[in-house]
Amino acid sequence: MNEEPTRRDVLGHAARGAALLGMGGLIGYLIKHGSVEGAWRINVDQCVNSRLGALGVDVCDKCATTCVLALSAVRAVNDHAACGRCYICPAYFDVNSAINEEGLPSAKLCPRDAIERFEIGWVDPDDPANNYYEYVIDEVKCNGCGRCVMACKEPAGLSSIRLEVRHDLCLDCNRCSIAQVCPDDAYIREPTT
Amino acid sequence: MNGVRATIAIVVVTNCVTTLVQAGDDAVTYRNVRSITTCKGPRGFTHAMRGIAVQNDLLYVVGDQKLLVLRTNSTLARSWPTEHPGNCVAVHPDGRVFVGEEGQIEIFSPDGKRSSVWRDAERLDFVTAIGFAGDAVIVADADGRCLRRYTADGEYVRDIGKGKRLRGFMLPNRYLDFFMEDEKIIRVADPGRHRISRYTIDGERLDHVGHFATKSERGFPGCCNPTNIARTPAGDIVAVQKAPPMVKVFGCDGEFRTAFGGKSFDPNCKNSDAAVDRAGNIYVIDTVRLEIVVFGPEQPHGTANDSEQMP
Repeated sequence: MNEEPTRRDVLGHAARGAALLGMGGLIGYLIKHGSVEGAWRINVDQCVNSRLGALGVDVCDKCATTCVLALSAVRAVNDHAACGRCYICPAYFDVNSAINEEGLPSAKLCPRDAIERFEIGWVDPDDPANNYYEYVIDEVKCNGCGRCVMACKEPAGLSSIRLEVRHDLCLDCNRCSIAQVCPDDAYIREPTT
Repeated sequence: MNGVRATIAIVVVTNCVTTLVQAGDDAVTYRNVRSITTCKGPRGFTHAMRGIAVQNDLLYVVGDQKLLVLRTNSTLARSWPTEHPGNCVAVHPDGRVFVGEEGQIEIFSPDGKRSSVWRDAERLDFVTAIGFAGDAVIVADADGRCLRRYTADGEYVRDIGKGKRLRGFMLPNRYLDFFMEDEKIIRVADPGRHRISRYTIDGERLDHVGHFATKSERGFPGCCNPTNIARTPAGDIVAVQKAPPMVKVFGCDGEFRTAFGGKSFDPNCKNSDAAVDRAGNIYVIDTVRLEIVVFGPEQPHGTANDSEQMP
């Protein structure tokens, strides 16, 4: 009963072991590389709302209106380092509205009133044009409609406001509904590192 | 001979007649008489064209890392390189040419030999305008958000527009421009406040003209206008705005006279420097097309139209 393994048995075991090892490696490789890991991102140089040179065009609000979420995962973000802290910010005020008694536009641009304006630094009580202002976007209200982005774009503004995908909100759909309709192919999926 | 050929080769003048917006019955109006495109191209500017000055029927234009001297008929008189890209240029009554750059001012003789450099890392951060008042040299430092007064030898005297209760000019667009009204008074653009202010060369703030407006041409729109100003021989104020680019003329008391040129510029133009010659012609830089747009004064009661015509 105690039969010695033949050479054929030894070679067979070795071949099966090698095959199992190879399959394991292949499965591991496929797990690592077979699926594309990535995240949706807005290319600001492509997006019509922020792309320089695109003047006299309508605001694109597809990010706000086509995301599957009730409130889009796209938000406007103000880069405070680039912001001019202007007295009259064309992204905050509707500069086409009537001028009020303070000499300021009487209406705000954001339809959701998502931008707040604060005086910063030393405040001149006599002349509000003498002050610097910080413009803060309320992410709870903002739906990424892009109106403020377009209004802040150079040469009218300093292009300090841009649209960004909030990855903590984004469902990361493989077939993102915004990307499907973005007229400028600015909504792109990029591999994460 | 080669020089003559080179000069002729780069001379292209585009004639066109644009113009007028509106003006009162007795106001001088302006029309776009031509665009000088000679400054653009391999022998001219390829990237940036920033500053312009006029003296004795010569146009001095800086950008990239060179200075071009053009005759008013658009032919090239001479050119020379600058150490850094020039932001502005001014010609001293004695003929010396001052070029404002980042961190320094280069001073050239009339034939282009560099005679001196003023370097002042703290006070000449980003020089965007230079003017002369007797023995004083006034320099606009956009990063410092104020004017600096120097002696003719380059010795710092004082700041203007900053200090005490003055916190500096509001310059979201990093450009500060001014002109000398006379030897004591400075007119300076304060775009963040939508004003053109008056100061003495001793730093006293006098008054201002201008206000924010969008639907009326009498004021300045956007976040920061006017960006550039110049003075006509009659003492009027020429103010250039961006978004949309346009030239506006005001009396020295701030009374609106006329606005024009909206269709003569690329809509993305900004910080377009302006200069006025003895005949009252206004030269404005189109910073996108790298051209100089020339507007000539017309007699009162000129025919107003807003269309472009081919020659």
